[in-house]
Amino acid sequence: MRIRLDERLIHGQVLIGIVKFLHIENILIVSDSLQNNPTRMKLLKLTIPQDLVLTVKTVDDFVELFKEQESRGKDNSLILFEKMDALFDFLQKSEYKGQVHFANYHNFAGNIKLTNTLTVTEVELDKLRQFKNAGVDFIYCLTPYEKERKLLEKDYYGKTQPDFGVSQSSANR
Amino acid sequence: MIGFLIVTHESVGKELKKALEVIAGKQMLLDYISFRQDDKIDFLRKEISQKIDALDKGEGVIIFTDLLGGSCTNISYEFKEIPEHKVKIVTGVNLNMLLDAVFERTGKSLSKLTNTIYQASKKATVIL
Repeated sequence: MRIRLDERLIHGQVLIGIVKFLHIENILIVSDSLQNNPTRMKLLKLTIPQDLVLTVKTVDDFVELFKEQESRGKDNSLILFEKMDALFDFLQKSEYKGQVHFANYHNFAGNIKLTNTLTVTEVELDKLRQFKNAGVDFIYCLTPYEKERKLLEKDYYGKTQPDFGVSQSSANR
Repeated sequence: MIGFLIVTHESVGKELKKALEVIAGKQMLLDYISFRQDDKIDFLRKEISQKIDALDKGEGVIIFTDLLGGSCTNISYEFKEIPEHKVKIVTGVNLNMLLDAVFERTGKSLSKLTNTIYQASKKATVIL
């Protein structure tokens, strides 16, 4: 099971990178609002390959399912969170202590750039630190082909420019 | 005239437009958006909205995207249902498809042109 925060949900990196590389059979999107958006639900059903099972659950329903399945060990599932507050809600209620992969997330109210695809607020950063101290491992990884990097380690946190050459013009886009 | 917008990862669309115009000459109502890895998704949404406004002269717009399930297609799809514009989306954009589009667009409705492009692009992929 891989837990991933990605505001783009299912897209190229996920379908081609993660699903194929990790032989994912199930995608579960955790969202309290997605099921109320028929346009997005319709698109998800159109784009998902036929051999993949797609489920959408609210945070509370997923916490319940997670607690049931935890004792059964790993499975070929990708768990996707679109929003940081939903992820925090899950971490709080489930007391999950494993890895969480971060990919694409931009909070427009935030100005803390953890990487070139992750921008958070002070409040979010504080909460991330709290969960990290409680045992959650936050990893930055867009696709399985790239080297995984731990978030909130000294070489990322506090740097004003990420170390992979983001230009000022693209940083503002 | 129906407008054409090419929305792709990185510069694929920009280069396709260049190649198209080498073969078919400069085109009216044809534009592109290059979506880069570290761009915010909202930036893409705003760009698409602005370009549709500019390209729609009353007959609608076809958005050509690169990857079914990719962010370019996913965000473009949000514009399919907006009341202000008629929008169709065709995925798997390639040079052949764009050539068909520019040569067939006169006198056709948005739906008919989209279908023509789709049928022609299926035939254009062959094993030699």
